[in-house]
Amino acid sequence: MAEKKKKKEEAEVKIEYKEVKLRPKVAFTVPIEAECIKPDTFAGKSLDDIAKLPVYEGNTRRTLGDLFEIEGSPGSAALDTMITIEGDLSKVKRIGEGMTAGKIVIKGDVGHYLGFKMKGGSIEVHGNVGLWLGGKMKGGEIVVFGNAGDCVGGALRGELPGKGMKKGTIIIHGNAGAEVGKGMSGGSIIVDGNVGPLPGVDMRGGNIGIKGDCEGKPGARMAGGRVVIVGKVPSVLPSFYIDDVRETIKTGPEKLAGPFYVFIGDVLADIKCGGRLFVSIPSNPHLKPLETFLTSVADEEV
Amino acid sequence: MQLLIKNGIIYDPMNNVKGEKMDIAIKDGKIVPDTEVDPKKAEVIDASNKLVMAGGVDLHSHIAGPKVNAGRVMRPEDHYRVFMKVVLGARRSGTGKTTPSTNIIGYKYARMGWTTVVEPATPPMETRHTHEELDDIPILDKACFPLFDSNLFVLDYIESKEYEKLAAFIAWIMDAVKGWAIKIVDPGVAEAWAWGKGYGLNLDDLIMGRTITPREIVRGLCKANEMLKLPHPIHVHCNRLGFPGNYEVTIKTMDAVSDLYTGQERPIIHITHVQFTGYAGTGWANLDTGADEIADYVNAHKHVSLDLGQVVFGDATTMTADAPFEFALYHMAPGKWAGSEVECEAAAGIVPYRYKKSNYVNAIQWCIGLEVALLVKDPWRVFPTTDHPNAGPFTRYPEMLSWLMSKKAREAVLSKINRRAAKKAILPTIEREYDFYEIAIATRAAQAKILGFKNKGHLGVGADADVSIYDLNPLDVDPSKEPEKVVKALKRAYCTIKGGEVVVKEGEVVKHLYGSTFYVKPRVEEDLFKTMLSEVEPKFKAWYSMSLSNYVIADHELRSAVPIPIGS
Repeated sequence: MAEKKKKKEEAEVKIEYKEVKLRPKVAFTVPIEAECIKPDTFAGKSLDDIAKLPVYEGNTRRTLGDLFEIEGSPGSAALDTMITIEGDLSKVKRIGEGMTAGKIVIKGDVGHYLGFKMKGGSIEVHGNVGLWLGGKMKGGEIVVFGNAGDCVGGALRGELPGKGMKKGTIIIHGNAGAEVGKGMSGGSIIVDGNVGPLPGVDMRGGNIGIKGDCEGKPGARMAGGRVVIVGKVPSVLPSFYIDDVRETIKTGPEKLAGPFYVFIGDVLADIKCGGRLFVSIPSNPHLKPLETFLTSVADEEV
Repeated sequence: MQLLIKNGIIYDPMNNVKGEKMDIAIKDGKIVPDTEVDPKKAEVIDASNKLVMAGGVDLHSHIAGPKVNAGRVMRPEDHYRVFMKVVLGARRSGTGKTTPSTNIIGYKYARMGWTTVVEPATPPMETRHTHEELDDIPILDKACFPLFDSNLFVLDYIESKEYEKLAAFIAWIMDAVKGWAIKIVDPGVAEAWAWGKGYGLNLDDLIMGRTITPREIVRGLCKANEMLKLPHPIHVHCNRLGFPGNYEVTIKTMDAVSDLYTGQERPIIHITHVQFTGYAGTGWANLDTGADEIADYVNAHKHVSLDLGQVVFGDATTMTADAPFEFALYHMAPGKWAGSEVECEAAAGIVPYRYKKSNYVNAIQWCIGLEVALLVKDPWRVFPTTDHPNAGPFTRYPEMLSWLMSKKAREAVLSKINRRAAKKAILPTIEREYDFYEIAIATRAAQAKILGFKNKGHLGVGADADVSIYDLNPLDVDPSKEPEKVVKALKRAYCTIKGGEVVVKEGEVVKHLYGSTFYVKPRVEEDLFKTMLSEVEPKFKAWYSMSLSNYVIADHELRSAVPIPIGS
């Protein structure tokens, strides 16, 4: 395993990215659908060809060259292509949709559906992100150095549980909004800051690690996977059972230190209670009364 | 506006035209003799080597109404990927696959060559909503069937055996809410559901809170229907729909009214989506086909007609006014469920569903529909539908028709479905294949005839100028050997003409216009009518949350209402 990891790291280091730089020509006022901004479409194209790629600005069809200044040269394949975008992109949606390899670096705020359905490669954002960051993601890595909106790695509205994120990693160094990991069935999401309500709603697998506080209702309707909360939680849903106490827990790439109460549930989603909810003991003294249920169960077993 | 369709190969079963090369002349929205159209002034459509039929008619497709709208609201995931873009000057935009928005319902039907569609279930109280939506559907001509199975007044009159007053009440409702025929959904169940009962109610079980059985409701409404001489027979969704072993109930329901048949030309009972009520076996694990028994009964009795509710594999949204069944289905297919009750009238439910080839039950369901269609010998009494969107969206009609027309196409699907189901089914042993003439009967002539639309479904002089032209030479192409060609041609009509206007050209909608809504105006004796109203009014005041004057829909509320007076 260790050897494999080393090899993988070496391979990653070896890639020499060829860079394409984009800069908005004007401050955007209407939403822009820019699913063409990804290494897969840029690779092997000349700058003129890239400038001709179609983009919708509101309901008007335009080209990428109309909206962005484009410099640099793309690599021959998606793997060694890096796209750097500087400026305020908070109106630009669907960047990196379905990308399979390469890298996107965004210096500024960015809009909704960043890395939607992405399969590989990496995205780095030095700013805030809109809704559905990495929604329905199937692989790759996203790192955000600002805050993220609602439904990180989530399934779309109305979709069945388990249709969200399947694989890959999302790391958010700021805060995240509501419904982090909605309907996810694999992969991991780490949030360094606080999150809104309902992290892990409809979850069927994967890991969510929250180092800050949660606004409430963690793991509602979850039937698989783990939600780990190191900070405060106002309360745990009544459809969860307290099961155990754990010292540390591995959440995706990180090991979070506890100790934690272990809850199983959500019994309303699945009677088998496949979901695991870990809530920090030191940050949540108000959950202490629940410990009585722990001991009583243990006594019965004896 | 004059149109001349030249050299088309025409199939017109009502006028016994079977693949003949003819011209069709159209003037002012009607089909006229060739001599009346001036070839120099008229727009000429060259239809040489092309299949020409009347515009398609669909007598059972849930296209409008409160439950269709609720289905749209609860299924956003149905609308992400399927959409139609706006084309300025030609058409508007829309989204949705199994629960499409109103505009693309009209466009997609027209693109396949269909021009008349009927919404088959609407609670009378909420029919104003249904008409609002029907009015918003472009191109098509429409009608709707109000629900009568659990109506407070209907049950009261049947309980007291006052069938004449029942007929008068039905006549009043038809006029008040602009309906076309009597729809019966799982008779008595909505009434029992109000008590929390009614799950799996059988034909001879007593309805909770009443002293009658579903059999009496079917018979009573059939009697009233024949008294009023409404154009369409009672449209029945049988009891115990979706329960294994329910084919017996279906046959019993058909038999319950057999003594009321007096030899008239049109059947007196229409059993709808018979696939859902044609299951043999005692449980889901040993589900079997009851198609042969049903087909035998229909072949031996002239008072019955059927439509299929053929399953097409893929996404569907089940929505029906059979609330307890939907509640049961929700437990079989966990996910979302919606249920609602309309005071004193009906109860409905919605569950999204996906039919899978690998699933034993779904595979058997797919077989049953086709078996019924192929085993019933008279194409004038069995109509291919998918009960849109219950067994699949209407956009899959071309595939369904190709299965009827080609054993090869059926075998291609049979080889992919659940093995155990394929072994158990009768379908592989059936050799029959529909030809273009039978398709023209089943999708046009027969459906227009059973609905009682005299100007639809044929191309004779005086008919409405609803014509569909397909880019397919029926004399050259053998549908049994080249089903894919048939599917391709039927999916996008070469040209669709609605009311004398070209609405579809080479598979694309080129014109946005609105059709009419038909409703019946039965006449009853004035004294009887007054007595009935004097009985209904106080009860209405006591039990309904709205006033009687608001209940009645006026003609001006519809975009284009066409009353058809019935009887004398």
